[in-house]
Amino acid sequence: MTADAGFRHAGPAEIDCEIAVIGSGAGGAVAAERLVRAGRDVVLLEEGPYVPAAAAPASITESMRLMWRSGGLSAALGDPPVAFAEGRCVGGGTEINSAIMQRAPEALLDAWRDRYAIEGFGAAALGPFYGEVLGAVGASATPGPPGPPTDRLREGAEALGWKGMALERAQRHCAGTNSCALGCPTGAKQSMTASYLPRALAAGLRLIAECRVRRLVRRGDTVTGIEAVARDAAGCEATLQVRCKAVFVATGAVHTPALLRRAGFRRNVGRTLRLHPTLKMVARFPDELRAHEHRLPLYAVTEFMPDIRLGGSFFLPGLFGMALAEDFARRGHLLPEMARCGMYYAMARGRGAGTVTPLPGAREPLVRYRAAREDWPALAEGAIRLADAMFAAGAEEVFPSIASHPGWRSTAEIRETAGKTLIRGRASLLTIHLAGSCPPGGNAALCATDSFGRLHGARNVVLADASQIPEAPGVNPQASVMAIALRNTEAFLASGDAA
Amino acid sequence: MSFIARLCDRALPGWPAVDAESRACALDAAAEFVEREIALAPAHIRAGIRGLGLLFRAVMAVSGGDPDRVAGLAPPLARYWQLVRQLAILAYLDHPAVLDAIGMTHGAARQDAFRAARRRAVEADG
Repeated sequence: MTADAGFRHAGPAEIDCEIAVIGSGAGGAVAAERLVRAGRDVVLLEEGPYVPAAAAPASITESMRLMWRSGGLSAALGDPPVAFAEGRCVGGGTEINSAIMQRAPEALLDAWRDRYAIEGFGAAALGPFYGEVLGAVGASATPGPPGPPTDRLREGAEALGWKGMALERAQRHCAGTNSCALGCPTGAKQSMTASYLPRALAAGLRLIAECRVRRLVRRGDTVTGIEAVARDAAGCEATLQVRCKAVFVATGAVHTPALLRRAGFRRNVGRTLRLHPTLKMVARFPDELRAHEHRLPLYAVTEFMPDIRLGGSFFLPGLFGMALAEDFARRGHLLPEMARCGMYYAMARGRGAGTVTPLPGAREPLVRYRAAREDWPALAEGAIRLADAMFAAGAEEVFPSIASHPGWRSTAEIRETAGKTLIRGRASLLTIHLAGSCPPGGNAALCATDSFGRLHGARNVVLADASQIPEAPGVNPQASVMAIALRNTEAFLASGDAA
Repeated sequence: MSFIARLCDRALPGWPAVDAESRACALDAAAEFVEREIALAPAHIRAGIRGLGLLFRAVMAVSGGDPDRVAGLAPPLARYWQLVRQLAILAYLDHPAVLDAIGMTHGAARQDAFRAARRRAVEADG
């Protein structure tokens, strides 16, 4: 993938195309590639910059500035708030995630099909789409030894007789840089800039990076264009009008509903944001893991899925220090023992729902999340199970990400103190999985689009991103985003009535 | 020294040991990072953080200048101090001089080594 001036716009203030795709992440890139392969004239607009592998940031702080939305400092407000991270660069979140590729559980896909009355959905119907996208990004086991952080989690699960699985990733010849969250410097990670976008560009896609969409221009039930602000090669910003016959919106579960609501599309839009509330845990072992020199743990405990999943976290010295700083008085002593520590997580399939509300004059919407009654018990159980696994793997001390938690030093201590120390209001929750804010289907009371992503109340708008995953999937959502985006795009092409 | 820089100075850990010059350099980087992160936050979150920062500063001025003590007065103040401390430590432990002290290879040299390793793996695979 080569770029003239980082794909910044150098042309006129008004451009025409057949189809405009907004957002170049897992959904938008897949949709754009399929559309251009079908011979359509497509312009893809991306708010963030193009960061090729050869120019990947060498530090997490630089990556947060360049590639993460809002510098990584976003949160869904609630009790407690849930910090979240999204990509803001060409390739979107696929550039800064771990590229873990999993199908959503079959039982969930079938349940969503029935609950939301989604035509052509369910495990059997989505199977071929999953198969295609997983093949396109080389989803496979990462070569080489997984390393001690993975081994600890697997050993703990096996000692307890729990089910688990090795995680496949979108990668080809991964060299184990442990830099997934910074932007892969080798090109091994099959993010969108390494997979779908080069193919789409070769097939005629016009990509415009550093182009922020201000609003959809609509006439009645038809979106006739897009008003954006584009930055040219010299860094100057100017208004860009994109005239189009159809629009694919793929800006993620937060920004898709925000953009639609700003344009007046509100029916079931942005009222059901779903996420995976996640509690982290630092574990100290008697021997060295040197987690900062190894891959993130590529193993997940599936025993308690789909409601609870246990896994391992990306580890860098700064991120480790950040975790300890949740309560530095109680945990600071672990910093010099970094080589003997690992970071893991318990992730719940959140049953609560959040809202996305655009704020006048602000680029970022207000995001709120109201946890369901069962969310915190699930997370607390996850923390206990994870601590059990850590002790079974030989850990001497564990600290869940709850300020004032004194830490646990044995399984007996977990049972004695869990009721008093797992305090929801002091928990530091986070998520990198957001979904469900514009669910598809025929259930008019619940759904923002028809079964194939066509927005209610709009003649020519299709959604193709995580907002279309009806609820929290309990697994990494990238494969589901890509499969649904492909499915919606195929349906659009087959319908023949738009554009 | 700015207020944020003073807080960062209190937040930075004693490990790994670095010389005074390197620590000062890492402190500057940490303070700059904290300021930048707050500036990049969504407007409503940024406004909340800055409001708490003003309150934190005022309370600190009248309570003897110990941020840990100020944080103990009310949960929102504790959240503010936690945020600043987390960001400061993240930036500190991401600084080249501190990573050198840890003994961790970093930066462009590390990236180039991995690029070469991957090239060899691709070539070996035909």
